[in-house]
Order: sequence, then C-alpha cells, then structure tokens
Amino acid sequence: MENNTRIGVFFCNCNGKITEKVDFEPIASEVKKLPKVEYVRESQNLCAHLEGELICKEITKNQLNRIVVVGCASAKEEGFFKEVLNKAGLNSHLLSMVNLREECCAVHEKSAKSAAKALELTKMGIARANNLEEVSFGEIPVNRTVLVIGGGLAGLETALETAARGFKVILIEKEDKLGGRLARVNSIIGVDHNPADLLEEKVKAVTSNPTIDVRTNTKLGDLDGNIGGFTAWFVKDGVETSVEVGAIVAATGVQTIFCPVKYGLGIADNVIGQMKLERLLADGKDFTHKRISIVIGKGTEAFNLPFVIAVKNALLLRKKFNATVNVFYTNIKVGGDNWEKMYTDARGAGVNFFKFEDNIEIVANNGEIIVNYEDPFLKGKMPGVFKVIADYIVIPEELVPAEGTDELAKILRLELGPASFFSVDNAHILPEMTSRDGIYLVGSCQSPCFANEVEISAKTVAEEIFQKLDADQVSTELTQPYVDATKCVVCLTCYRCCPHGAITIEHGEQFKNLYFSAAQMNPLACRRCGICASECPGKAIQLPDYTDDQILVQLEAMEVLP
Amino acid sequence: MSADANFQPKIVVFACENSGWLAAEHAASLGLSYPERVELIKLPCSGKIDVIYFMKALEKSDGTMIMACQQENCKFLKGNVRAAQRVRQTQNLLKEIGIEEDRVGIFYLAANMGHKFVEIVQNFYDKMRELGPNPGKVIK
Amino acid sequence: MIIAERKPIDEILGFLSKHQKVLVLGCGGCVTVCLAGGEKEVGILGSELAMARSKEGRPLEVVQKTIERQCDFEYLEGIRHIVKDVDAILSLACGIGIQTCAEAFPDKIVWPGVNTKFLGVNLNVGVWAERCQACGQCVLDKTGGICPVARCSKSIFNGPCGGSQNGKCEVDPDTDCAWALIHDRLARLGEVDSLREIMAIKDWSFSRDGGPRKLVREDLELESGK
Repeated sequence: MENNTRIGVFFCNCNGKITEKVDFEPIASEVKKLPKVEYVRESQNLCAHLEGELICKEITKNQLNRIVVVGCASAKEEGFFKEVLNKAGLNSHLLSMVNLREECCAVHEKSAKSAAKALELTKMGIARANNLEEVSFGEIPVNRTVLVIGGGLAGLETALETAARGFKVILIEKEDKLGGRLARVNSIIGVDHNPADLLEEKVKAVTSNPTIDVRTNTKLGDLDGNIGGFTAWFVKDGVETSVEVGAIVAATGVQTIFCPVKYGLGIADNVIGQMKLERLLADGKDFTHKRISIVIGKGTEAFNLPFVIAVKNALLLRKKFNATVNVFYTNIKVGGDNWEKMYTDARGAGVNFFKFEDNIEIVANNGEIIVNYEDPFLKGKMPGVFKVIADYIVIPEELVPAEGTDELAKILRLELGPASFFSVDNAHILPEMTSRDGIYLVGSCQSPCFANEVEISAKTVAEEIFQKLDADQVSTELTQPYVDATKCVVCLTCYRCCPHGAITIEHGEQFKNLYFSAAQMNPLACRRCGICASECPGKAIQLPDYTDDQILVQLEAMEVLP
Repeated sequence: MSADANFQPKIVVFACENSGWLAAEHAASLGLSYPERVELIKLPCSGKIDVIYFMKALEKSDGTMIMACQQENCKFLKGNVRAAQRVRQTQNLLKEIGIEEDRVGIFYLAANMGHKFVEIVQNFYDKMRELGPNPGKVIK
Repeated sequence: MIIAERKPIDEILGFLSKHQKVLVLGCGGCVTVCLAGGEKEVGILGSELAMARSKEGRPLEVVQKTIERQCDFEYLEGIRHIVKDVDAILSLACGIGIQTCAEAFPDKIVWPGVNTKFLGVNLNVGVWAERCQACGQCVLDKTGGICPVARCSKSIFNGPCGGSQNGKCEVDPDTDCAWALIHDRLARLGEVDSLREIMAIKDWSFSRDGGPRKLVREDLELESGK
C-alpha cells in the first residue's frame, strides 16, 4: 500500500434510479472532505463506452490509483470497470463498488435514514478502496502426464481419450491383466457389441498406443502435491517408484457381493447372482425351456443398474431360450434411454412380473426353488399364497465400491460419499469432478454406471484436463491466499481445514522464519474460499480482495450510535 | 427489554457471495423492503467469517449475522460448517461477558431466496429491538 | 508442544479491574499452535475485554502485540517502548513466557492470561492430549513408546492396577489404560516378554521433587559464561 494513495469517487445515477431515493450532493460534499479522496464526479450512466473513455482520461490526469464506483455492484458492470482500469494502466483489483441501487434505493423509501445509510455505505467503500492491493497473473509450469488408476473399461476409455488429446498417460492396474469386469459379462445395455470383442479392441488400442504406459500389478502407494505437480508413488512387487504427473483419474470401479443367506438360501448351483448369470450366458449355457425366477429390489434400490440388468437378462432368457421367466420386484426403475422400452418388450415377450412389498419367501427344495408369493394387489380378491416353482433363482448382489477404495480415498485425500463411493463435488454439474481440482472420477467408482455413460464421462474428463492443463505453462490470476512466512508457525491448521487439499507445507531459505518453512496455497488447486485465512491462529494468511484489513476497515467506517 | 420504543437497532450482515449477497439482490429486484439500519459486507464464502469480524461488528452495532448456503450445500464443502463453529465460538465469548448470545447468528438460504432474505433480516431486527441496545458497544 | 487454555474471562477482568490501558501480549510459539494465545486470539480477547468494560461503563484501552516467543529476552526487548506506555501487561504465553516477560519488565505488572495445562500432542484441529510430564528420566525404551508417567493416571510402573477394565482406566471411561496400551504395543512388536522384568521404582528427584531443574551444556556455552 503506497503512501500516495489517490482515490477517485464516481457516482452513477443509473439513469435516474439512484437520485429517485438518494441525493448525491450531501454524500459528495462529505466524501470530498475525506483524506486521500482526490477526485469526485457524478454521471447519469457510468457504464457507457464514452464514460469509460472519460474515466480513463480522468485517472491519468488526476493520477488516481484507487477507483470507487458508487451506484451498483453487479458482476457485469464490475467487468466493465475492471477493463476501464486496465486500459488506464491500473491493476483491475484496485476497484471498489458500492451498491446503492440494490442495498438502498430498491429496498428503502426516500428518508433521512436511507440517506444516512447511503453515506455510510459510500464511506465503507472508500475505506476499503484505500486498502486494496494489486494482484498479478502468474505463469505456472505444469506437468502434463495423466495418471489413470484402474484398467477396466473406464480406465481404458479414459486413457484413450486423454492420449487422443496429446497427453502422455500412465495406466496402472492392480491385477495382472487389463479388462476389469468387462471380461465377465455377456452383454452390455446400450452397446451393440460383444463385450469380449469390445474388450479386446480397447486393450489392443491401449497397449499399442506409444503414449500410454501400462503397468499391471501396480497400486498407488502415496500421493503428494497438487494439479500440475503431483508426485505419485507406485508399489509393484513391494518396490516403490515415484512419478511426476499433472492429473489423476480414478477409475477403480465397483464390486458385487453375492449373499444368498440374506434371502434364506444357501450355496447351490442353481442359486446365482446376476454376475454369475452373465458368466453362464457368455459361456454358452443352455437355458432352453428352463424356469427362472429373478428377484430385484429389496435392499438394492439405491442404484438403477441392478434393475436394468435384471430386465435385460429376463428379456434375453425369454427370447433366446423360450424360458419361463418370473421377475419378482419391489420397484422397476427404468428411467433411462430405451430402458422403458426394454421393460415393455419383456412384458410383451411373456416375462411375468410380480410385485412384492417387503417380504418374499424363497425355499430350496430338492433341486427346485420355490417362491411363496402373495400378490399385494390381488390380496383382497384372491387371497392365499401362490407357489412359483423354478429351476434357477437369480438374486441381486450388493453393489459396493471396489476393494481398496477406502485406502485410495485416503491417499488421494478425497472424501467418500453415499454408500461409500467417491464423493463428487457437485452432483448436478460435472459429476466427474471431486473436491480437488486435478483429480477426477470416471465410471462406477463414483456410482454404479453403464458402459455408454462411461464413454461420455471419459470424454468429459479428457476435455476438462485439456482445458486445465492446456500448455506447459498455465496462466492464472494469483488471487489465492498468500502467507506471511514470518507469522506462519507451520501448525498445520490450514492444511487440515482446506476442503480441497490445495495447501502444502514448503521448505526453503525464502521463508524467513524459525522453521524455514511455511504453508503455501497452490494457485491452480485453490478455490479461494478463504477458510484457511480465517482459521490461521497466527494471522499469517490473507485472501486478496478480502483481507482482514479490507473487511475490518469497513467496520471502522461505521458510526456507533448508543 | 427495549426501554425506548423508538430504538432502531443497527445490524451488520456478513453475506456469502453465493447465497446471502445474491439473495439481497434478488430481494431488491422483487421490490421488497427491510429496515434501513441493516448493512451488508460481502465475503467469498461463509467460511471466511472470522470471530474478530463479529466482535468488531458488535463493537459498533446491536446485532450481527452470517448468511450462508444451505447445509450440505456449500460450494466449498465445509465453509458453512466452519462458519457455524465460529458463530458458536462468538456466542460463548458473549455469554462470558454477559451479552446476549442471540446478538450473533448464522442463517442459511439460497441465492434465489429474496423473500427469505427479507424474512431473516426482519426477524433478526425485531429480535434486536426486543433485546435493546447492545451494552458492549464501544463508544469512543 | 505446550498446551495452554485461556483463563476464564471473569478472572482476567478481575486482574485488569484497576487498569485503564493494558498490553495484550501474544506469543508466536506453542500457544499459537494450540490456538490459545497467538495473534488471532490476541485480537479476539482484546475486543472482548473492550466490550466487557464498555458494558460496565469503564472503558479499557487495549494495545495488541504478538512477538515470536516470550521465552527469549531478545524478543521482549523489542517491545520495551510499548510496555512503558501501558498500566499492565496481560500475557497469553505459557507459564515460561509469562515469567520471562515479568523478569524482563520488573516494574510492570504481568498478568497471566492463560492456564498452562500440559505437554501434549495435537490429535486433530482443536483436540490435544497429554503425553509427557518432563519427569527427567525417560523410560519409553521399556514401554514400547507409551509413557506410564503421563498416560497412567497413577503414574505407576509395572502396571496395570486393579482398576483397569476393558482397556480403560477407572478414573475416566474415556481414558485408555496406559498399561493396556503398553502391553498391546509390546505384543505387536514381539517384545511382550520384556514386561517380565520388574522396572525399578521411579526416582522422582529427577523431576520437580528435586527442586527447580537447570540444565547447563558447558561445551555449548558462550565464552562470557552467560
């Protein structure tokens, strides 16, 4: 902050809206008396092109270095005035705006009280302007390698999409071969391609791509740093290696837990889950004229996937094998592309759908499966329990995050969300993003999803990474909090409180304190929320445009009345 | 207890720019009105609120509040949680020195809730009228 | 880390009742890290005191300053010019800092603003637990890195006592029995048999029972013998 601060105050009447309720003269005359205020002017409409040019000239003529606009404070006009400041050679952060229009004129009547408020708001804006500081741009060198964790369909797609955008990719898979669960299914909804063939295609594309480095039997052991500069430690056969990467995509998927005991059944060849059914179908098992009971719902209602797969397989069994298929359901969740049609087709083909409410009784008897069924709709007219006999029963598995997701979340410093899957930043906007920029989610590791959704997610993430890491140096405005190393006691409070993992403890001679160390906020990963600044017990952290001085000085400008 | 029926409390509202600040603009666009002696200070997130801001505000006013995004809906995930903690911290400090804890509070709303903004401000204003002038104001 | 906690406000207001202008002095050492007496707390306490006294109708002028540490005389020298203008100092440093401050300014009343509670670890933001009592004869080599002096309520050696139940101390259901922890740790390290050795009774003369302690490293002293 220079000692020769010269403030220019510009009143804007917003085409008459302001002076309808508040007069400028009493405010202007008070403001002119304030120290450091060097220039005051009124205008009918300040955000016009010609006015902008005039302001430029006035800034230069009066050597103004802080500008206060008294009128409105909307984002659009802020952009206009920031450009005016830039044109006049001033840093765009030396602008303060006082919102008389929305805070005073639109909500109060013309009175002595509202006039007093308008004057006080103006004084607050001027006091803040006095404390404003410049903020510059910085060129941040970034690493442009992408790490993809997981070699299933999601991982393979992501690797291909990011490689297609020119990134070097490292794909790690904890098992000894690629493919994940795709190798084990018979058909994929919405994709008219044999899964085995699709898999072979994808694996070939990945392994033959010179920019994709595939490492099997490899897990992520530890992670440091932030977007553009992660250091990842891989563990393979007990040996640790470290690699620098710029972005990370978690594509670790989901696992199924088959628990027949929950339905009162034991282990048997004809008591299977959907995954086993897929396997049997893929292996060419013959279900001709067999009787098959399928149960859906009952504890697996959180996700669409089990419902849709069950309907898909019911239709397939009916059409291909002319099997007798009875589907027992609590709900049919088919809100997706062509799913409703699939359900209607299944009904049309002769699959029987039986609704049950809470309880369904299933008994295994002499190689047959008997479902003792009570219809909740027909209870009144046709009471009694019906026995539905089948050769096979398909019961739903529980869908949980893949093994090791907990550990991985801790390493990536991400939180887990509903049902312990990875938590997304915002469920509506870009569900592939996490709370940490530079770490993304593709596929079922966020929530069980379908193969065609995986493709879209992979493309989205590749695009997002491309936007964030578009060159070897990324330009960004350095509006992240800055740390006064002389006050930093490296207590780790900010490091622990940051919801985005954007803070690291750095070491070096440049930190002029007893520890030669201080917390630093990564300009690319930081989201400028200011939580660290208010948690810091040593008052070492300040957030540009919202520093303690800039806020407290507004309070100081307020009058106290008894 | 307000001894003076003409007492008009001064309120300082710290408004998160993703919720309260925009709700105030929304209220203005709807043509609603609220008491004059209410002044807003913008913050980037409710998590930026500091106990010292509340304390300095109370040295000058009768009541203060932070307006935050709805619970579990903070754009920065934890901001409104930290803000609630700071309000609690401030309330403990006020209680210690015999000042009513109701003079500081946290209120949750979304950016498009202009009516809610006015409701919150009006209710708080009325409450401060009941409590009377803040005995802790530092009049120099 | 030394863990301290601000004293009850009534006690502090009692100390300051005769003064009109005080210096609230913070410390950038342990009390900043344990969120009790750093620059932030100095600001908050200063405001709280001003408001409380304003309420009583007897205004208090508060000067605020935080220095790197209060336990080194050099840092205290730096504020001598501020100290001469105030009626008293309210120090938020640990007991060591408060005493050093009092020694540096013998003609000025120095009030303690915090209670120094224990030496402990920071388990998470806002949570600290006692770990060491500076007994002067560390036995952590025999107990798998868990201290029977600080973490056992009775500070016994060769525990546990009869009050240990399900790994918890009879004094407080939330307190782990240190000897249960020690046993489990040694078992995990494959050293549980070492507990068969009886540990000798503690010689408390190495602790404060021997009088105030002093440590001199002659090989490091400055030539002036200071």
